[in-house]
Amino acid sequence: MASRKHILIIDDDPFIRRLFGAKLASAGFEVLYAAKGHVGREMARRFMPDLVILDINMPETDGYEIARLLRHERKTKDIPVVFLTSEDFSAEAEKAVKEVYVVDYIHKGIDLDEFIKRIKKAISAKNIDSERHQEKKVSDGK
Amino acid sequence: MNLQNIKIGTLLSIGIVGIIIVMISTTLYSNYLSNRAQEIIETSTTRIFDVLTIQRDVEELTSALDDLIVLVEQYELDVAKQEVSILFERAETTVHRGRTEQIFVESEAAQLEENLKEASDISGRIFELKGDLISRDFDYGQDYRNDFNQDPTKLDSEFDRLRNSKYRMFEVVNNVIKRSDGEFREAMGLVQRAQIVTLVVVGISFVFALILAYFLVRFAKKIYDLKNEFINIIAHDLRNPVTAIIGFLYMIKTGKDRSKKTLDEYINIIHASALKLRNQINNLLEVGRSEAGALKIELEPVDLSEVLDESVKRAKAIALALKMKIDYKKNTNLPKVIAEKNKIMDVIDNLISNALKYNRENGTVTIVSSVSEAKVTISVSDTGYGIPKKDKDKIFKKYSRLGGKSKKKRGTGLGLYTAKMLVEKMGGSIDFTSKEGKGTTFSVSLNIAEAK
Repeated sequence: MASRKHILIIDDDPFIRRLFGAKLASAGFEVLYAAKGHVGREMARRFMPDLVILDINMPETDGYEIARLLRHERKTKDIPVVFLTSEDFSAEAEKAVKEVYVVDYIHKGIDLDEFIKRIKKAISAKNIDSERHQEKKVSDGK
Repeated sequence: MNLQNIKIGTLLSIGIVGIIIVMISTTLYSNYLSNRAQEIIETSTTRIFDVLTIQRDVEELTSALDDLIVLVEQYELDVAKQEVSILFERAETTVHRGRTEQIFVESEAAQLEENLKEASDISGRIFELKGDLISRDFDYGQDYRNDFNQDPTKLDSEFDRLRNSKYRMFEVVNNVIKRSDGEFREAMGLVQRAQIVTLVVVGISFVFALILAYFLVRFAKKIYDLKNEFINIIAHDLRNPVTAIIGFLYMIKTGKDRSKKTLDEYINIIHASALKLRNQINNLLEVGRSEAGALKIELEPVDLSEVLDESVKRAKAIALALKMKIDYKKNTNLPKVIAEKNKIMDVIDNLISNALKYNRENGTVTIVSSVSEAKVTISVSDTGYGIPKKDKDKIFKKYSRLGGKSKKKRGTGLGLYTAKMLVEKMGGSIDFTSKEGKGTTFSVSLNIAEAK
């Protein structure tokens, strides 16, 4: 078996962190936790996780901002990010998701087994950002 | 939302009343200017018409005088006699018109009248002179010429006077016309001014209406955003505990790790989440009631130590799941206060819940009660990061957003807003002190119930 995949959960709600963390751990992932956006960003830099699960609605720095910061830094820009939120998906959110290139947008009310499937898919998915760059290069070549 | 509705109503009515006042006053002013211009033009037109008639008469009169002069010079005295009588009648008519015109142009008319009188006097004298000549019954031609030759200057001087009078009359008429021209210009100026005023005011009203519309749209957007924010807070604060409860129940049912330690942890979290959920639902109901105007508080003497015991018991369950500590020593000497038991319990729950939420990891929440003068004060302190100075005014607002530079911010929820609203309805007060990096203390003071 290959080395265990590392997942960083950034969410200000301790119970939510614990719930999804416990589920991920039981599915064989190594889980890191951060209660604040900028702490999470620092941990992403230091530990280079295979996936970041990011809450949107957080005090101080929200999820959109953290996703943007991760994208803008050379070291962390290829780490896939998944939004995990209790907000309903809005047109505004859709726009923001496109702006910051997240791999998936998961609602917190999701069934936990379905959640693991989505996370496995997200972790194997190539970063949308780099895919876009490749697409762009191909179309530029024509 | 009531307050905001009043604001939008006030804004609308001020705007509309403003526009109506400006419109009415402009219409009145421009109406006044137009009316005055019309009056001036009418007067001036009548006068010009009259003066033109006089001018025509004067021209006829003077040309008749010219004819007379020629006739007399040629000695055709019979024809001259007729001409003089016609001339006399015309002169009288003109004098009459001059008097009518006097109403409008007094000085000029008087001058005119005088001149005409003079003209008719001269005519009369010529007439008499001619009469004398005829009554002599001399041989037509030679004798008359002789007679004239004896005193030629007599007739010449009369003719000079006639000519002068003619020129003066023309001068008078020209003056009147000149003055009317000036009045016309003034009237046109007034009309122009009315047009400019109307244009300017229509422009100002338009700009005013645009500004008003802009603010209304912005106001509507703000209310929309606030409502959206409110829904987001509810989504976050209600859904998260539900997610935790359902999720951990599912973990208990299906999880492989069934050790007592794990199960205990999950059950503690479920309990804490359910308590938080109840607290949130209570807040939502209180705010809903308050906005519907249906919030009623039934004041009674309340034993705060009982309330604190119950609240702390719940808080300990939440703190256990959060791995935090609650520091509370029961004060058995608390006098009863004026409050409603369930509502003050909601307040205390909110303050403790808030302190746990913003506390440091493994932090402590301390609950202290004290008596001073006519009040009992309950203080809830955390060991968290404190409230930044710039956010201190926002703390008790319904949709307050704290910290951060990014556009979207998390609201602090309804807890503190509800607490303040309830405490103030019970005649008490709520306040806080905060040291950045050290922690925050919220204090609720309630009036002591008089012993009966």
